[in-house]
Amino acid sequence: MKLVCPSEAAIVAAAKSGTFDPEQTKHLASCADCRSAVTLVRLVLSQKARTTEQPHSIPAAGAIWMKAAYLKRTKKNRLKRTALCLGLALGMVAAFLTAILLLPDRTALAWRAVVPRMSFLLPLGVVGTTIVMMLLVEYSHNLKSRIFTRQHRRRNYV
Amino acid sequence: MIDQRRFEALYADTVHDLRSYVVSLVHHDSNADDIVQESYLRLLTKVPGSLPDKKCKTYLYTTATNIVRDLWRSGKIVGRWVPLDTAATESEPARDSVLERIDTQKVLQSMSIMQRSLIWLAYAEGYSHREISKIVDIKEKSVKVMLFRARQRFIRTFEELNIVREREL
Repeated sequence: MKLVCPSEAAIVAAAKSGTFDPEQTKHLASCADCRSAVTLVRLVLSQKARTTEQPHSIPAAGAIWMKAAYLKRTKKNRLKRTALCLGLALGMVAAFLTAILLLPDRTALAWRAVVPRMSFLLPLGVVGTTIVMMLLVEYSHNLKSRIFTRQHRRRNYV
Repeated sequence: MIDQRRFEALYADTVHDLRSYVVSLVHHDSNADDIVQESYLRLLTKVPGSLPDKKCKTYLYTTATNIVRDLWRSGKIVGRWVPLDTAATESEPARDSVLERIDTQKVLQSMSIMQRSLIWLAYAEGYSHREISKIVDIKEKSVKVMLFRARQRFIRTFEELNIVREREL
């Protein structure tokens, strides 16, 4: 049993345009499936026309575009901040290790003995420092925007 | 990101069709408006600006379908997603409510969300089976079978309602 009549696609397209050629009219007289497809197209299109006429509350294209641009910019800034934090954390860990290497002889010897044994803590240290840096940067960013908003309000309304 | 002028043209070209499609799925105007807006936002934030218009349109329909599916999963949209296979378990329209359910929207409402989606994409938007399979994320062969069943069900329900109405008159 064939689920789809081979002429259905053409018949549906013709039903959407509203004009059938003589061949299609002849086919429609003999094919119940295509007749039901035509009925369906008409019903669905009338429903579509009714929905299209209804007023809607979707914002205008410009507003949606600006919102998307803002969201994208925010995401980009967040990525930048994360990269900055990671860089800072790596820098701090590197500075710490360099400091150990530069310590006076006795202390340095002791640290040099300890550090290789604690090497498993290094990734943990990097991740931990990154998180702390992210929190610090996020906090300073929020603080900055809060101060800016307050100044903006004062300038405009007070 | 798609530039503003191109997006405005795409928006003007698709907004009514996309909204009609979503309304046919969720039957709730404000929900539909939110879903349409979210679809456009995702198009702008996640799709590269070089994507051709035809693919952008398909992306919008796919995204809208996915959002409806997510809402349905979280219980915010009621109804069945896929139809039940056995005809015996399908609920027939109650006789006393038949007169209220005579219009197309009511017939669509009596179907599962997936069936509504297939019917709309195939007969209102004119998408091919392959395109529909990408939008609703099922196999092309399954689209053929499910669309066939959905159409049978739509026509049968519509005819039954008409017969009852004629009797009533």
